[in-house]
Formats: sequence, structure tokens, C-alpha cells
Amino acid sequence: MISRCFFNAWMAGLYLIFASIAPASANTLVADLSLEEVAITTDFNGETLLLFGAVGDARDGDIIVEFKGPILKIASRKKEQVSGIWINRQTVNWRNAPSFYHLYSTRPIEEILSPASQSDLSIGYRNLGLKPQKLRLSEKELAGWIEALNRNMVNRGLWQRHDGGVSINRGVLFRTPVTLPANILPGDYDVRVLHIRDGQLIAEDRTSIQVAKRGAGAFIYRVAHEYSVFYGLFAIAFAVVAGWVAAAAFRKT
Amino acid sequence: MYIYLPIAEVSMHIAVVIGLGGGIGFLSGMFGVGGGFLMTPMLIFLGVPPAVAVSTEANQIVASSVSGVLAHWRRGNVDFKMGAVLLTGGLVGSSLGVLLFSILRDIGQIDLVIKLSYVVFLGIIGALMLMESVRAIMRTRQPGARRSKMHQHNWMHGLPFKMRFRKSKLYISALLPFFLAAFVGVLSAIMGVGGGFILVPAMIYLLGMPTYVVIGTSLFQIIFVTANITLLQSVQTQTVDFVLAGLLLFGAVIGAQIGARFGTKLRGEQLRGLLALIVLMVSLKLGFDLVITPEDVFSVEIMK
Repeated sequence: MISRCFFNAWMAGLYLIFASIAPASANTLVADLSLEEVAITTDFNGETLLLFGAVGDARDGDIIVEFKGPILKIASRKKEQVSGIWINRQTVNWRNAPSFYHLYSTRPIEEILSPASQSDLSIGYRNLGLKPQKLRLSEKELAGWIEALNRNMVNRGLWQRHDGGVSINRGVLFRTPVTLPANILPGDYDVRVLHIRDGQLIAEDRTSIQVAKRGAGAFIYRVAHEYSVFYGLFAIAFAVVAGWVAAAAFRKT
Repeated sequence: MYIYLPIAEVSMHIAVVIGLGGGIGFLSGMFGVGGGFLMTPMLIFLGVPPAVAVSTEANQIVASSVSGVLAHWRRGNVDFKMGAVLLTGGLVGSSLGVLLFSILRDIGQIDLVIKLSYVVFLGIIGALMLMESVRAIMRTRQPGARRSKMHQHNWMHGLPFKMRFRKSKLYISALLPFFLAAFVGVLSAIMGVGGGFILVPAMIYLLGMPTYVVIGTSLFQIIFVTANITLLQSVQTQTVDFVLAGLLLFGAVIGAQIGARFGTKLRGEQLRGLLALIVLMVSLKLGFDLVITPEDVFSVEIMK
């Protein structure tokens, strides 16, 4: 509640500053996030942050926000039935698939941009230029794999579109809540904000945010990776002591 | 309250984790089994990556086996010589199993192999147990029926490296327990189980060990096999989540005490029959998953 009041005050302040400079620079766009870092702590169960900003004049334009996560090793697999059992038969290892891809816009993107402009601006999962490693696929096959990847990622909440998620206030201020699910992975997240009018890019701004493990969980993760032998021995010792204590505690009863 | 598990990298409600440990602990206390064969599939079902589920369960089984072996040790029901031969085989087998696990994971077939192993081995053991307990229940209703001879001479007794196991009152080739434990060790590493459900019947029927030393001796060797899996997985794949293991253990310790008290109210053959039904149900459920047409033939895996 307090942070919301503070935010409104800050937005009003931003509006005043921006309103005074806007006429001089109609083609500007500035955007920022309500957090500087998303910390995955022990009680982490997803996080909602706010992306906000201002444009020179958005009265007859639209805003598209692209929130893109780190590129990780992602594999798609296709099952086939072999003597009655469904088995993974084909694998596509993606070279450049983002682990997180959320799009927020004032209206459905199809109404804002033509297919050609979407492709020019690399907006939408079909325009990310997704390529498999090694494996050669026909264009049609590749398109099928990309649709399947999108389907699976949408189910996990990692890829999503929020048409109408961005709201514009007083013609210059825009905002959208960005929901990061609990299964989000650490890394650098890139944010791109586009101001579109009549199918043309008017202004663009970029920012980024780090999603990082923090606190006790981060410490455990680091020890497990950097001192793995010690971690393994510790896990065993912990289990032996815990088992011993449990047996002793219930021996009398 | 949600807790973000540092290695599994999933957020789970703390009551779900402890409740799961408690529920499966209850069953393991009641039936006197480890419970890994229920815990690992449940963890995978709840969204824990298979590799983390298997490694973490190995870690938890170390604790439950230590806690179980102490009582048997005090009563002198552990054959340490047999245990030493078994654990040598178990260490070799589980090391191979960990290697096999990472190869299968890389080629995307680990889910299939885990499920198939569960279907085949739980199916066989469950069916045998069910038949045995039905027969036992029939026998108590028909007094006078005689038990057939348990120990027979066959090709196994012609094998070399014969050793005397005083406590087990056996003079058999050391190769038998070695290979038995090696085989169970491979399964242990792949299925995320202690392997008692295969080892115990095999020690009784295949090796011919007296029943009273079997449980203690198998628990003794399971400690080392699961500790080996914990260490190897920690070093190779960093998939042991000791926070998850600790929470499960906490629930399991309490659940097992309550379960053990419940277990004394039921007769042995009824308990075994009930356990056989649970084992068969897990096996059928996983088998069913492999056969029905999946909702989406495509799946995605984010590798780290």
C-alpha cells in the first residue's frame, strides 16, 4: 500500500517533468522497472513488478513491451509410439531460444503491426529467428517445432502474451505489471519498449534486470556447484546424523 | 509458506513437502519398507526434475537406513561379512548406474527408463508378493498344509570363490551376493530407491539367508550404496537437494513412528498383501502413462 502511494507520487512527479520537456522532444521514450533486481530467496514464489515510463505523445500510438530471459540450453522432444509405448524419438536442441519471453501491449499485436513489421522488429516468438543446433530441418518442419515449443513454454508460464496489458495514462505515461512465475530461472533479463504509430516505430528504449539467487538458498547452490565433493560429504554426514538422532529420539517410545 | 528449493529450483509449499514425507513415512513404518519407490515418483509428479528426485531420495534413504539399521545392529541381526560383499557389489553397480543415468539424461530417455524400470520391477515384485500373501492367508485357513523345501542345490552352488558366512549359516560363492548387489545398485541409482524390495526377497530365496538377518544386512549395505549415489551425483550433476531431503526426512521420521504402531495391529500376511497392492498400483499407473496417447507429443526440457 505504501509503495503504491509512493509510486503514484513518483508517477505524478515524472509526469510533471516529462510534460515540460515533451514538446521539445516528441520522439522520446523512457522506461524503468519498479525493482532493480529480482531476488530468488528461500520464500520466493514468483514476483510481480511494474514496468512504467513515458513517451512524447502516445495519444494515437501503441506501446509494446518485450521481456526476454537468458538463452539457455533448451531441448524439444517429440514422442512416437513404438510397440505400444510412447518414446521420445526426435530431439531439437535450440541454439537461441529464450528461457522467458513475455510480450505486453496496449492492443493485440496484429492490430498494431503488420506481419512484415513484426518480423522487422523481431516481435513475437515466430520472429526470433529460432534455430536448432546442427540438425537440418525443412522450413515447414521447423515451423512445426517452433509452434510446439511455444505451446509447451506457454503451458509453463514462461512464454506469454498479454494483449491489452499496457495501459496509457494522460497520453504520455504508460505502465504494465510484469508477472514473473516461481519457475523463473536466474540470469539477465532484457526489456525492450517500443512506441508504434501507424505501423511505424517512433521511439524505443531498453533496460534490463537481473534475476539472481540470494540468501541461504544461493549459498547452498554455490557450495553445491563450487565445492561439490564437500557438499556431497556434508549431505551424507547430515543424513547419517539425522538418522541417528531420529532412531535415538524414538528408541524409548 | 512456500519454500524455494535451492537445487531443485522449484517453489513448493512446505506443508506439501513435510506432508509427503509423513505420508510415505507412515507407509514405510507400517510395512517396514524404505518407501523410495513411492517417494521418487511422487517427487517427479510434483514437478521436481527427475535427476534431482533420484539424487535427493538417495540422500534421504541414507538417513532412514541409518535409523533403521541401529535397532537390528543392537539385536545382532546384521551379517557384516555378507554386508561387506554386498556393498562391494553395490558400490560397483551404483557407480555404473549413476554413469548410465547421466548418459540417458543427455539423450532424453531417462524418463522412459525410470518409468520402465518401475513398471517391470515393481510389477514383478508386487505380483509375487500378492501371490505369496494370498497363499499365506489361504494356508492359515487350511491348517496342516506343509511348506515346501526352501533351500535347494542347483548350479549356483558350483560357482567359485566360496566363502563361509557364519551369521547367515551359508557356504556359498561370493560372486552371487556380489552380482546381486551390483544389479540392485544399478537400479538403485536409476530408480531413486534403496532397492530393499528386490534385495530382501533375493537374499531369502536366491541366497537362502535366514530371514532374521536379511533386513538388518540389507539396510547396512543400502547405507553405503545410497551414500555412494549421493556423493557421485553431488560431484557429477549437482542434483542433491539436501534442503528437500531434510524436510522429507523430518516428515518421514514422524510418519514412520505412527505407521509402525498401526502396523502392529495388522497381521503379517495382510500387511504384505496390502503392500503388494500399493506396489502394483504404482507400477500400473506408470505403465498406463507410457501407453496412453500423450496430450502433446512434443515436450520441452530446459537443461542447466
